[in-house]
Amino acid sequence: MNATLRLFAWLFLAVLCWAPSAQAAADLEIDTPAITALKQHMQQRHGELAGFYASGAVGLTNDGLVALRDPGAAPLAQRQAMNGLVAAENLDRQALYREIARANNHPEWENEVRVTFAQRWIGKAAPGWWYQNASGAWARK
Amino acid sequence: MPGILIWAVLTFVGIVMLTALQANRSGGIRSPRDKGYNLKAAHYRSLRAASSVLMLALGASSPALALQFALRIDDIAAPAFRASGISADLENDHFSATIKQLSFQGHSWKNLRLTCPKIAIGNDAIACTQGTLTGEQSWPVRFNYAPNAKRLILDLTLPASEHWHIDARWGKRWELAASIDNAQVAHLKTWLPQDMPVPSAGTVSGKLHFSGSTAQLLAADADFRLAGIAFSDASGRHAGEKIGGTIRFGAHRANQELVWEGEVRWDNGELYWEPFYLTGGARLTARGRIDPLRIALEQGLLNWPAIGEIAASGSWDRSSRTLTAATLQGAQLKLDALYSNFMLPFLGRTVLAKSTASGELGFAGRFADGEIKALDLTIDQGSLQDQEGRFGLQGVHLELPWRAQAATVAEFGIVNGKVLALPLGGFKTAIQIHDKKIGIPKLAVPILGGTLNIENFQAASSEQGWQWEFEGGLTPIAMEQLAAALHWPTMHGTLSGVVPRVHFAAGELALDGALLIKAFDGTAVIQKLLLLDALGPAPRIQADIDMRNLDLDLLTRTFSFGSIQGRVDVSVNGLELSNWKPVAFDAAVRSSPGDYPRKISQRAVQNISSLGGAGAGAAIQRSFLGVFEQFGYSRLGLSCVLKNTVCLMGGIAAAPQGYIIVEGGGIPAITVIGYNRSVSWNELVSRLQRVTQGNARPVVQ
Repeated sequence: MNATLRLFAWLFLAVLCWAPSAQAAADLEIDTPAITALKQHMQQRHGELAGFYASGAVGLTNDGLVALRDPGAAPLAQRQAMNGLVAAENLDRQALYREIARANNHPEWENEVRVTFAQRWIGKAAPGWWYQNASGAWARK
Repeated sequence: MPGILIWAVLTFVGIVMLTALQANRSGGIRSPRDKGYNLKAAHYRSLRAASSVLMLALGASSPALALQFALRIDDIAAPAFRASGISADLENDHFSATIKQLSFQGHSWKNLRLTCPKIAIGNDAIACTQGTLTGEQSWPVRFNYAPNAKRLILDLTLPASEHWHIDARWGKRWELAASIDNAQVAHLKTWLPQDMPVPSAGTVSGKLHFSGSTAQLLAADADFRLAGIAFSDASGRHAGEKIGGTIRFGAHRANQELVWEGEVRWDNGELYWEPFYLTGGARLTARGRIDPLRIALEQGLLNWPAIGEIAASGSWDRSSRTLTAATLQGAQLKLDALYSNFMLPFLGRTVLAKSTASGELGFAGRFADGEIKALDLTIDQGSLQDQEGRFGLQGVHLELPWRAQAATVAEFGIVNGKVLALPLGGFKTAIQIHDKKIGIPKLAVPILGGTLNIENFQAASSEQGWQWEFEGGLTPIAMEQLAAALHWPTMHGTLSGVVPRVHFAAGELALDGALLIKAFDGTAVIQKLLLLDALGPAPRIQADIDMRNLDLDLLTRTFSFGSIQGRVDVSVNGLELSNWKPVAFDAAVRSSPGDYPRKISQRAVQNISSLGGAGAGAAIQRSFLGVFEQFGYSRLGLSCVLKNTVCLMGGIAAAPQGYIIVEGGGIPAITVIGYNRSVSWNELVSRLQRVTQGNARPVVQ
């Protein structure tokens, strides 16, 4: 009986050790027409958003999106456009995470994809830009 | 700040009065006819003071003409007002007083001090002409208080040319006049609730005058100029900058009513009130009446040169605090400014996001009993244009009479339009409207010589958004015209179709049955069509397509593919488009069954074989068969299963190390074999685009 139990315990441990390596990683560079189009849209928009990142009006959130951090930092005449850009960027980002998970044939990975991208965006952010740290507080890079 | 300073001065005036009164009682003031001020009670009543007054009235000492007097008050409290630690000293004509803490509406100031080096205290007036009020800074102050005449005149001078002059009279008839120069609106921020936008710069100058009898207001006039006003809330979502203009208001009593009129001019500056951004240049005038039951707006007129004139009227019930009736109307309004300022901010996530409109708009709305009763809307000579050129409508005419709980019919028409590159002819249609439901029994849109018919269109608004459905069809249009309009290669034949019931709800568009299209002398049936996330950033389409008896001659001539005579059936199962590009399908092209001429040109052989991944051209040119322009074939076919950007290719039958694409038949005959089974989809598409550059190797049998 003990031997059987021990065997199960070893098997259990073996499975535990094996499980992480068995879990396939999402291919974040996967390419589909939708992903290509989303990336193109985001690239075009980036030029318009960069000024707002630099001024601190817009920051990168810790859930892979962008948010108004200090709208007052943008001139009044640009705030309407800034809001539109932020809304459009977030729609594209959400669609991108969904599409990448779907293209990997694992729609349920959307959240993991989002978390990885959140770290990636913040890592790529230029000095002086604002981002949300793990606790949700704004920090300057 | 001036507010608290004025309160401080008023408190000090009270202290001066108390000091004078007590000094008088103790016989210290030279007063030939002492009628008594009788102010103590009046003063206490007005302040509702629950104070403990510690009078340490010592003094009135000799010499006879010298006066020395001191007053100490612990605390004066009233709702929203409190002054504590009050001390006042009067020595001959030198008066000084201190308030240790003054609180008003939750704001506190400490150690306020008033000094009057030359105070004149007489029976008729107490006057301080060279006073100084000291808090965080020092400000010159003057006041003249006449207890018998019941009048107080107060002057306060602040930095940056800010000056307040207040003249108040009271009694059975009362009057309050104020003249303000360069009042800094930033002072107001301490008085405003925290969730309101806070003023940060700018000045207000002007005059106000109120007069009344006991508790009744008899007349009111105010005339202010605003300059350089800036404000913002903490989030920056509501802000204004460099705002200048005037505010004028007047009212007088007529019987039991107060007749009022006012004007607000916004001359310059900019305003962002999410989601609207507006720049100055507008004038609002209004007049009406106020009685104990209601506030009436008899006529309100908004004159906005960029848009036009909008008139309003309404009535507000004072007891129930509700809008009981209102009307709003405008005629010949300029649609371009209305659309860009007030409509586009709500269209950011739609296909209209980058569009402009022009034309004239008129509207009239009526509100009563808590709901909109009627709304009439007209658009004349309207146009709607996508800045990216995807669509456009010209000569738009709309007459929309909407009535609550009643069915009405609107008229809508255009002179011409464009969708993608397809020109639309003019049309008119009747739109049935009932509450939030819209129906179009029949709409016929002329398009390229044919007609797109939309029938039984029904739309309704629900909590999930708008949902709509329709059915219809397309009467034959010439493919030549369609191809020319879309800048496609020249096509021949006609295109027509039957559209089954189409539903749209929650971002999903679906077909009830099969969409039937006639093209290339054959038929195409599209089934299981589903459009997901139709207006989102990544729309997806799923469908099964079955095409029969397509005329290869029409088809190949179209795409300068080389000539093939014959007919094919095409099946595309499990088609999935993402962002309008294919990501998955199982497709096959096969010769149609039946008896018909089957010929294939040398160029077409080259092109077909290049799709299969093997070159043909050079080999044919070199072979003795190169002398023939056309070959016979018995059947042809090619299949592609697209998955993960790779196309798995096949033909009509297996061949050694490959698959047969064209099987020879007749004389001269040719058989084309493909060898590449797996081709990148992008590569295949680029091959299709340069079909003559393939490297298929034909096996000539």
